[in-house]
Amino acid sequence: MKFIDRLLLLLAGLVFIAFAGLFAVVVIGVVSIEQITAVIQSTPRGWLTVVIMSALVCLLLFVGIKLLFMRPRKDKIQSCLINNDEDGEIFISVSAIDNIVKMAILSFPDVKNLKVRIKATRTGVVVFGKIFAPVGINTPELLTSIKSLVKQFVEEKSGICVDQIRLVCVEAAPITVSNRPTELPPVSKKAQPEAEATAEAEVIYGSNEVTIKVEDAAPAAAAPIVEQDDTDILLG
Amino acid sequence: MSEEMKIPGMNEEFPGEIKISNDVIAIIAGMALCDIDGVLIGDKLPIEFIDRSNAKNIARSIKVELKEGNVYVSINVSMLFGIAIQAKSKEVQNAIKNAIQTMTGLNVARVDVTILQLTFKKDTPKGENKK
Repeated sequence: MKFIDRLLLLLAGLVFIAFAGLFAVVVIGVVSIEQITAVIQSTPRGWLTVVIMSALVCLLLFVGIKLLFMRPRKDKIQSCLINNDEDGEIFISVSAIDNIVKMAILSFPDVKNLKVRIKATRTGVVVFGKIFAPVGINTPELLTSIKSLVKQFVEEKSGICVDQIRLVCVEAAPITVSNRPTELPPVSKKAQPEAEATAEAEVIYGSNEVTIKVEDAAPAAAAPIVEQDDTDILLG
Repeated sequence: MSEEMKIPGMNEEFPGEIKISNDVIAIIAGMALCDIDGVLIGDKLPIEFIDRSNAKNIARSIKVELKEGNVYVSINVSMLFGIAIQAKSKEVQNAIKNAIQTMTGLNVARVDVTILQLTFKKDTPKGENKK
């Protein structure tokens, strides 16, 4: 529990105890309601009282709202089953897979930054990645390489099947007038027809988003369970 | 609150019962990992973890249950990046099973291992490379 939550619970506890004590003395008859009313009415109506009362109201309101939306912390760790035999089960947490994926993707020098999200499924994991790459690189080639390396890396290191890899490539530095390139990067002969073919099929004109669907013709040998491996590569 | 397990076959000659606490079994399980390279509990080496943690922290990482006379262990570990996780996990399972069975005589039915995080070389605690 955080320190602030602990403090709020302490304050709420003190307020409840104070109210309980007040009700108790009224019920017992030590103090009558009229006396309490008289004390409240006799309080001087100066600016200091208004400030103190406002602060108290704000504090109680804050405590009340905070307690209203307080939820028990989820201790359950999201994990994937690697192996289950008579000795027991072996799980790997999603954050560990996340680290493996990041290590694989960051081995590409063209990748400047990335965001990764892992979703555990019944048969394995689905990897969602947002990759920040500079302008001018062959994006389909880079993403296809990343895809195959991530799949191979995760399956080799963790033994978990990678069901799907969904990658979105984002420009690391969008081109503006100030940083526009003086000359175009060289286009390799191998990449040119592929880029043209995919662009013809999938380019959405008038939009700045290109979607390329790559079918995985040869799944990794280490993943016998995976039947299909669709990869969506989004270029933004 | 720690439970206690009665060790079978230990009171045949003398009257009385010998019971062993879950916390003790958790410590045995943790200490069994000391000989395995590349396996950490939390961010610490197993021996440091056992030495510096209280029973509550140990119970958070190493859960021990007794069902129908069998011991069920569930342990959360971290591993060094680059090692084969499955093979190392099997090693962890065998080490814990052997240690508990040898030291207590209780039958270990299952050892569930969860790899919580992967630790990189630069993050490893001091003393890791001394082994």
